Amino acid sequence: MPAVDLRPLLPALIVAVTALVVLLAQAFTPKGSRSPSMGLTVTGLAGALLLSLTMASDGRYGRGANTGGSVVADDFTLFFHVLLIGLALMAALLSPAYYRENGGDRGEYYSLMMFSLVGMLGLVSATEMISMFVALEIMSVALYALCGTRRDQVESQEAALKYFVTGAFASAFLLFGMALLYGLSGSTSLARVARGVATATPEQIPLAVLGCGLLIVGFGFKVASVPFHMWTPDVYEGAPTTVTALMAAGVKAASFGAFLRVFLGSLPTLREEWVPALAALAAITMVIGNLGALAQSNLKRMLAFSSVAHAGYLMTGMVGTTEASAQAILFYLVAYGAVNMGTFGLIASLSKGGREPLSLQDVAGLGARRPAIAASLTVFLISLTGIPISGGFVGKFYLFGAAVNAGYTGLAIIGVLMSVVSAYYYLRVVVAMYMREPEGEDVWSTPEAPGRLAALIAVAVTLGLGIWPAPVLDLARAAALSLL
Amino acid sequence: MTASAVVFWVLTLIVLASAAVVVLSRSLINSAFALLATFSGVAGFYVLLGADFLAAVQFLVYVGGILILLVFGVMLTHRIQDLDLRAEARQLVPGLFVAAGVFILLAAVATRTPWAIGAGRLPSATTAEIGRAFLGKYLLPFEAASILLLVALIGAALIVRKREDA
Repeated sequence: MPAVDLRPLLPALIVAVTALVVLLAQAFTPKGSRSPSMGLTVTGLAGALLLSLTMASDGRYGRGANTGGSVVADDFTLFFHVLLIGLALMAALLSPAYYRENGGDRGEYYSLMMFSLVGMLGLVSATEMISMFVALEIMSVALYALCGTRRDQVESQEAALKYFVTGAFASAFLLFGMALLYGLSGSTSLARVARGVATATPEQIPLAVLGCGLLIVGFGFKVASVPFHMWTPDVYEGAPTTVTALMAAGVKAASFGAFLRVFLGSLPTLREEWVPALAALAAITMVIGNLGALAQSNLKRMLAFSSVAHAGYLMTGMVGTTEASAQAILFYLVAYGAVNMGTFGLIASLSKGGREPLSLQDVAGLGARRPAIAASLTVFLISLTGIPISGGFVGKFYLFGAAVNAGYTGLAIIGVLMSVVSAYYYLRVVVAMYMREPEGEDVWSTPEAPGRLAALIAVAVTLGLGIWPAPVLDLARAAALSLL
Repeated sequence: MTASAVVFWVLTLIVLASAAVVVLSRSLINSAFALLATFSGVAGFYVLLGADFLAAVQFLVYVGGILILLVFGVMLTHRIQDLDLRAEARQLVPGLFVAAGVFILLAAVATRTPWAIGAGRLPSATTAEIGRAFLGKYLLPFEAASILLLVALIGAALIVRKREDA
């Protein structure tokens, strides 16, 4: 038996070991003393991040290596590894203050968060369908439990149950699609599936198309695209805000990573069949996501519908099926991840005594009382709208450009129109912060140093991507090329 | 009709009828016992297909393990008998249409496709081959499944723990 190259697994292994260490440390910490969970989590994640960066720098450290044909550490994988570990790191920094105000800062929480990250890392690096499915389940099961960690809130329990039921349903679709593609090609390896689909006889094409269709349903659930988005508002609203941040930023990125690897990487020969379906889904997702967000008065629900709308923008980029579209999606996932982590993170760090600023009244006058926070939120909302000098603008420019180059000009026009619609509900928050008089006392917490650091990183990334996008665009291009 | 076709249809009848009881019954304990027939019927399918290992595992794990746990859970839970488990059937007609559409689509594709059939013949006993696959080609997902189980364990412990013991 040949030696197995474990290097592609190392970042995930470090995260998994840290998760176990946190769990044990919790058990041995005497009551009343400070919890070591956050410190250990941040240390472990920083180590994994450094390792991923090192691996990306040179082939000697495992760039391009693969483990038994199941997991590969190509540029695409490493791009996502750095992004996902970075996002989890920010979520960890935001967590202690939030959980102290809302009850239950416990080791299990950090541990599950890291296991969920292990699943995400596996999901983007798997090149074989069984590994991909197991990774997806690790990510999802950890999140189902995380959604229900606010035991005192019935909404949190509801979110956990809803996410579990719809998530299990979606996993079944994904598994069925994988089974059909296995039936066609006789292998679970994505490369062999690609060959099987490319050499399929005309009678076998319906099977391949049906498999693709079921996969689109499964991934559609995970990335929250219409008509598979019904769970999103309730789950995003009910879950603890730091968990929502990880879901909106990390899960979406990881799911799109697997989506891209399967469809652009392995099923390009069927693109005539799945691109129109994807284009139609993208169009209704953008329209329903944005119109749904217009009607929301709760900030978390509004951001949930905005997350649906952004799934639509990202799918708009995918119809191009070239490396330019993969590049645009990767870039946008970075911009979108930072912004979501920042927005939900600020909501979480303002929370006090179990309450969070969730309505326009709650944020009214924030510009005068908390200028730094209001300014950061404004940057994030501008980026979500897609106004220049923000990462969101550059990202949307490339996404819609990819759609236009693929001949889907109408889709790009819908995207631009819907971005204009979205300005109404995003900027409504900015208006409330700066132009309305504050009501009552200032009841919110002051963000602590770790939370401020996370918000600062998010602002820096958002503005950095808007002003000087070239480095990340180059990295995204290299990652896209390694996929196609 | 051959003998195996007769066995297939009898098993199908058992699985479908008992599954209907599982879903439609109002009492949790009736559902749990009907599940016994469903799981056993599926094990019968595996035997029919020559998948001896899967049939044994289906029996040991699902019938012997999960079902017993379920029945114990039901019996030891205080006043669970009073729960009315009837599921509300909302949007029955659109639901039926979608289900029928998906069924027709899947059935049509499954029956018309010329499936890729591997070379060679079926092994007489599958256990050794499955063991080799688990510890060879599919070692990574096999090991990763243990992380999945660990996560499920931690998650379950987190959810059922008493409130406010921090």
